[in-house]
Amino acid sequence: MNRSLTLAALILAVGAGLGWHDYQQLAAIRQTRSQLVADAAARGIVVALANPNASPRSTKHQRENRGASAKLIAAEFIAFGREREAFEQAGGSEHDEVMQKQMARRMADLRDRMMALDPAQLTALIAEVRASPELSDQTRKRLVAVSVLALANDHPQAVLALFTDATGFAKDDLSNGYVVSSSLARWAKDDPLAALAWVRQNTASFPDLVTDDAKRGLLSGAAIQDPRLAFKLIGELALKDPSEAIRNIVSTAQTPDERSTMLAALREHLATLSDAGARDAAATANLTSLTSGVGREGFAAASHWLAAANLSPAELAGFAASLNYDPAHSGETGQWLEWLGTTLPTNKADERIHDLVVTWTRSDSQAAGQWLATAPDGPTKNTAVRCYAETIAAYAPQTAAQWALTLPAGTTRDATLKTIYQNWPRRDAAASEAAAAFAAEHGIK
Amino acid sequence: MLPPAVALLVVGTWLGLQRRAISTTEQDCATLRDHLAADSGANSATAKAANPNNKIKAGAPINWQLLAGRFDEMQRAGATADMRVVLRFQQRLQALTREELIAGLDAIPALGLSTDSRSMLEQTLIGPLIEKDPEYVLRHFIDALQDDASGLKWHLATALRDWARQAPGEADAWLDEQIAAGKFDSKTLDGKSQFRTQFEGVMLGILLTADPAAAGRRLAAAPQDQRADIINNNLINSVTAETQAAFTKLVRDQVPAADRPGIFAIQAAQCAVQGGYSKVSEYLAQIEATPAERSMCVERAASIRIFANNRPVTSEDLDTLRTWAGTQAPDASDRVTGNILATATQMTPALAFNAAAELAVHYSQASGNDDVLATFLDTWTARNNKDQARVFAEKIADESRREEILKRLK
Repeated sequence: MNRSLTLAALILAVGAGLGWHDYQQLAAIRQTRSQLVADAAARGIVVALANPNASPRSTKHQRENRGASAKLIAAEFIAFGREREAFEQAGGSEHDEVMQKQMARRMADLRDRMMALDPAQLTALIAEVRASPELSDQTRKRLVAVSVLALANDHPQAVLALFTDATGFAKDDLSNGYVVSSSLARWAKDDPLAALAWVRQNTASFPDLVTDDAKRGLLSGAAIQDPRLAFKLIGELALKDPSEAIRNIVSTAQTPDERSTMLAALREHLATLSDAGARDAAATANLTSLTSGVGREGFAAASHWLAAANLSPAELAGFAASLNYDPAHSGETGQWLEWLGTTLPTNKADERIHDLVVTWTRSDSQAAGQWLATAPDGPTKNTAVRCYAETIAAYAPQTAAQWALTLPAGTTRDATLKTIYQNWPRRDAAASEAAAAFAAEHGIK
Repeated sequence: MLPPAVALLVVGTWLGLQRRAISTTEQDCATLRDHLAADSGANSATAKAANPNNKIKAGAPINWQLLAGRFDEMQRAGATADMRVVLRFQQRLQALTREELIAGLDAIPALGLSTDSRSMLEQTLIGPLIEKDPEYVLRHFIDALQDDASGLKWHLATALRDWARQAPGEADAWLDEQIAAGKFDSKTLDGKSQFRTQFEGVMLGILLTADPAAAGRRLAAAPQDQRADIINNNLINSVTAETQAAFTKLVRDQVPAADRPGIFAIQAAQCAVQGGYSKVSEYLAQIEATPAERSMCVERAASIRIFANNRPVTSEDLDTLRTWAGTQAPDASDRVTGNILATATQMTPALAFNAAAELAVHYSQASGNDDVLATFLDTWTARNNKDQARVFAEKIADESRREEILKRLK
């Protein structure tokens, strides 16, 4: 017995020695990590760490400290809310920019510190703010919204639990349903099926909470990781307007690669629609949404993506509808006009060419005119000439007339000449006479 | 042999837990070092940062390429962006020195960003730099006005405002130099420069307090057809009770007569919101409004006042309006009533067309002329309800006017 006790004591002594060494090592490494975290924070870097908390297990003392820490931030937050309220009541407004900026900085600091709290601490903080008798209803709602959004950042499911648990938290406590939909989006981004399970579980009990907006939030989050899954979930969620949900999903694709993936998923989804007319309409509408940023990436990148995407006529119509004059890529407008002319059927191309040329001419008539002078002859150029001439007529009718006369004789040219006459500026008698002479020359009545 | 076994278990578990903690903490450190090294930019810096003994110094050169990438990711994530990253980015931004901000803005065009990303990042950096040195922003980045891809141009008027508050004379002279140098030349078909309009409005807002005579000279130098735009876009909202007299004089002296009623009507509407019809009456007396100005001011003020109620127009609303309009612009009262009734049919909640038309008939009879009804039936709401409108048109007493209205309602 004595031998075994001695052996046990020896084991414990050796273990204590090794453990103390490890403990010292761990303390030193933790200190290094704290310094690195601080350096990273100062440079705006946030890193998902394998072991974000300092200790693997928290002691009662640490738990008490955490509770005290939450109470401290809550008290500071409430005091800030009261201060802000007093500032606003005293007539503080956007004119007091210095104070506004100070307040914004303090709010940012508080939000930052809140996000360092764990879900239990943040939930306790929210409860403190909700129970505070010192705040007006409006300020309380505002502060609760800020703290709930802080909780939603890392723990969206904890936010949703606030609404369904016995905390008496109602959607009206916040300004709108944004918190619920964005929490579902965040959750679904990481774990769409868990978010879906929550929706299924709470739809019947909390119809005011699990709205179509909230469901669309879930779909947006799911679409970021897996567009195909998001499309499949539409049917599960029994939305009143599935087409709006499709637009939500589609709008999450923002880079060329994401758009390609989304396009493939969208096509698969649309293929499940039995009505061909509805399918084409959905393709057009959603391609407008999917490709609204394509043009802004520049003609070379955009036309490359479009060629690879191999769009159907309905999809091309959707893309064309999203194509607008972009001053940041003004120099590429001519290339887009030619692309429209060679890609779309004439009737569809004309409408888009008209819009682009009119806006381009109003914004930079010289550049538009220079392009026209070198553009290849053909239907695209004719449509562009008509639109250009009609647009500049109110400012430079003689130049407009010269352009109109480059059109082939026929109804389009006649109509253009008539519009030029109608828009002719009649500032004085001489200008009126010039307009009349123009009308006489071209047989305009 | 139980005690040694228990001792072994206890020691083993304790050591195991500690070693696991050491391992994960070391892993965290390695991850953090990698990120910090990447943020430090150059490959040589990576090697240095990877060494735990080389601490990253505050004020180390900023890798704008990486920062831009992070900003881009943040923008793309939208509602699901990590708020911590957003906050830290904002805090980092606020901590940047004037020199760092300038270096960043100068570096951005060469980063190869997409147009949208470049524009957004520029717009994010320019605000803090304007706070620090608005004059530098203007002098250094004025060419952005002619750069279609730059996001800076949207913020230069704010820089002018901030600088002009500190040095109005210098800012005023600088603006003249830039105009003369063609910095505000416009490529638009109508020749108007939205930036010139914006800058002039901002400068006038400062001069109105600092030097009203200089404000007059400034506006006189602007093209006549752009003066109302300058005032409406950026000046009118900066007018205070103290500068109202100078503002009125500026408008009367420098704006073409045809454009003045529109400008004063905006202020009249603001008065109606703040203090009702009585405040508008005070305002009209203060600016010594002409009949044409009174007419437009009364119409705009009435419209704002009546439709702010968020309910269908009532005869009480119209009685109050007409009593007040009778004291301020008697000639406009019937026309304003007819137009208000037409608009009321399109508001939410709407007044039904027939109910509006009945009220138009009522007020026409009360006035003893056809003006209210004829005005009402000569609007788009009547053309949208032609069949009903034609029935009411029969109640117009003046035969030629009735025929004219009926012709338009065919």
